[in-house]
Amino acid sequence: MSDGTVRRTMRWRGVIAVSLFAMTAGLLLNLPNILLLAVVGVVFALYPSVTGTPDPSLSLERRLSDDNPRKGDAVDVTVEVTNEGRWPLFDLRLVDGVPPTLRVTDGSPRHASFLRSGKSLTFEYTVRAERGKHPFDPATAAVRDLSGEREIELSVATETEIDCTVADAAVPLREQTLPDVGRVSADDGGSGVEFHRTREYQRGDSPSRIDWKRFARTGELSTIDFRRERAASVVLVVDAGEEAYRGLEADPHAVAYSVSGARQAAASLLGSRNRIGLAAVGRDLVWVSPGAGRTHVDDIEETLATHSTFAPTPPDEDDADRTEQIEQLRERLDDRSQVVFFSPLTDDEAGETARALEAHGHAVTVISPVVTAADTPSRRFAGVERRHRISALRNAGVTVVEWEPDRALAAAVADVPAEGTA
Amino acid sequence: MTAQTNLTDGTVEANLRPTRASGAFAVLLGLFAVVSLDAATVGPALAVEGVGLALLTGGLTLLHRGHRLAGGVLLAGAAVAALGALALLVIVTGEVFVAGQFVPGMVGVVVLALGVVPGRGDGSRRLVKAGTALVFLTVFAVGVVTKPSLGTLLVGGVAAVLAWDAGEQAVGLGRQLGRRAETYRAEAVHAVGSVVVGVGAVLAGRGVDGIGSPGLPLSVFALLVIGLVLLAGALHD
Repeated sequence: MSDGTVRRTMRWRGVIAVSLFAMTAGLLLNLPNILLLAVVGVVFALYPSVTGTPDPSLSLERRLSDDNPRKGDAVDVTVEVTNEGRWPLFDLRLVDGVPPTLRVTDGSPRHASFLRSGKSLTFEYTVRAERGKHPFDPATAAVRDLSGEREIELSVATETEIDCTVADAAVPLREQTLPDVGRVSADDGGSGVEFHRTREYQRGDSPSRIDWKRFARTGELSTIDFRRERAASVVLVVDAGEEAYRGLEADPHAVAYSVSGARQAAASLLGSRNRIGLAAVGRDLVWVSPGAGRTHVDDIEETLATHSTFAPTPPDEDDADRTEQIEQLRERLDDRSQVVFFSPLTDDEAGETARALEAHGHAVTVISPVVTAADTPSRRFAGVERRHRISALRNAGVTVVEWEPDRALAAAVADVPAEGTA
Repeated sequence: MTAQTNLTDGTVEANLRPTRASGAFAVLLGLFAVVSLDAATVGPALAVEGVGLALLTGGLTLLHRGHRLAGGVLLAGAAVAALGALALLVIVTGEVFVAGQFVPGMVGVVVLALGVVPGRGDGSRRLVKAGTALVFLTVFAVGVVTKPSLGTLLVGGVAAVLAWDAGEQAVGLGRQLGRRAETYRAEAVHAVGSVVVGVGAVLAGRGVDGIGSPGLPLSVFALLVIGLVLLAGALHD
């Protein structure tokens, strides 16, 4: 269970300096009592070596007051943590893995306590339900020994999910496919079921495709081409770069919304004939090859929920080489892949990425969660910059959907034609 | 000083300021360290300073909540109390030189308080360290100038170290969990552990004194203590 490594906090290191100071001064001033103050530092410096390294073993249980809330409902989350280990935990710090798309409205998902072996502690907080499925992340625990010298961090997982989709059955979220997404079908004809065109007979055409009625009428041989069945793949690309971690103060940031949007899109594409893939640029390049079926969509949801690139904190700027990631992504996309790019468009690079993919022959749709406001001059400026990026993208032939995350994604996509003419 | 593991959750406002219980304990220990040295001389001045610290805390809290006028009035009161405390110290001791040895400690407690009751930001380990170092400097100065008994010095020194420990704990817990989280049990257990070690340190100091007092020359005695310090350092790293 102790999957974390022990970190030394070195917090008691300073007392050795106190000892050395007292010792030197005592010697120089010839004062034994000052010299003896050094003993105080010595004792505190020895303190961490008598406290053992914690070896925590924890289990976690989460109870929801309502698994299936309506949008806006307050859901009480009760967390119960049990010390399964043999030793007491002197300083157990816990942060529950609140779904990044939800907001805590009351209480705190954080707790610290002393926990005896075999005992449990509970704490409670309240979140406000938003539309969609919200799986909880694993809780993070940091355990320190009594002196605070060693800290071990581990995550404690349990499957919990707030499902706010069923109660909203009036909004046809699951049934409705995104009209602009997955529209691609092959433009060249061949055998298939859907009529494409008729053309002059060529030697070698299958007799079953000859338009016999027309032959009877005119005496000319012609061949019917059907639309060739070729599934297109749709790759959902999430922008999780540092700049995408923007959001208004109390709101979730854009990456959380993008992930939620990707989840909605994956679910709605499940019903179509297209194969779905997932990619993300940010901390690391994420890649799930296009595939179809319920289990594949489950894989995608799993990746969205657990991959470190979608972590709630932004990556360090140096961590990620974005240009290289996009290069790799382009190599992996096959020619027929459509791209749905989720990005708040808070920096020029995001726009560049979308344009580069479009230029390489992929049909790109940008879904941009709106996380800007207009209450201060700097925010207004950021909003203007974003509008510029959007119109530049639209000029380049990229479809851009502005998505107010309060609404269902399908509804935002349905509005596109009206907006696209602007 | 210590790098902090960053723990995050979905909430944006977690109020990551130092925890109240450990913060208050740290300031009280700082005051205790100074007053334990010579209660009769410095007691009245520290009582006034305590009032000043309460005003400071209240004022900063009010400012933080947006009550500018009320907060400003309380802060002005705190400044008056601080100056009053210094004046009282000089009057009681009657001598600037004697008063001077307590000044770093009295300033140190205020610095420590600013570290755990931040006016801005999430508290500061640096202010906690600087404040308690000033308190320790007063312990040292009193040991040089007034030369109280060894027990008094040891208690003062231990209280200064404990004040730092509690202050650091307040800032650390605050950064990881914040004020809204319930943390008092962990804080209490940590504080008890440190206080027990502190008592042990006082006893150890007396014990070493007992070994050294039958006429050991100071240089030999110093070697003994140097040995202990090196041993502690070796075990620590």
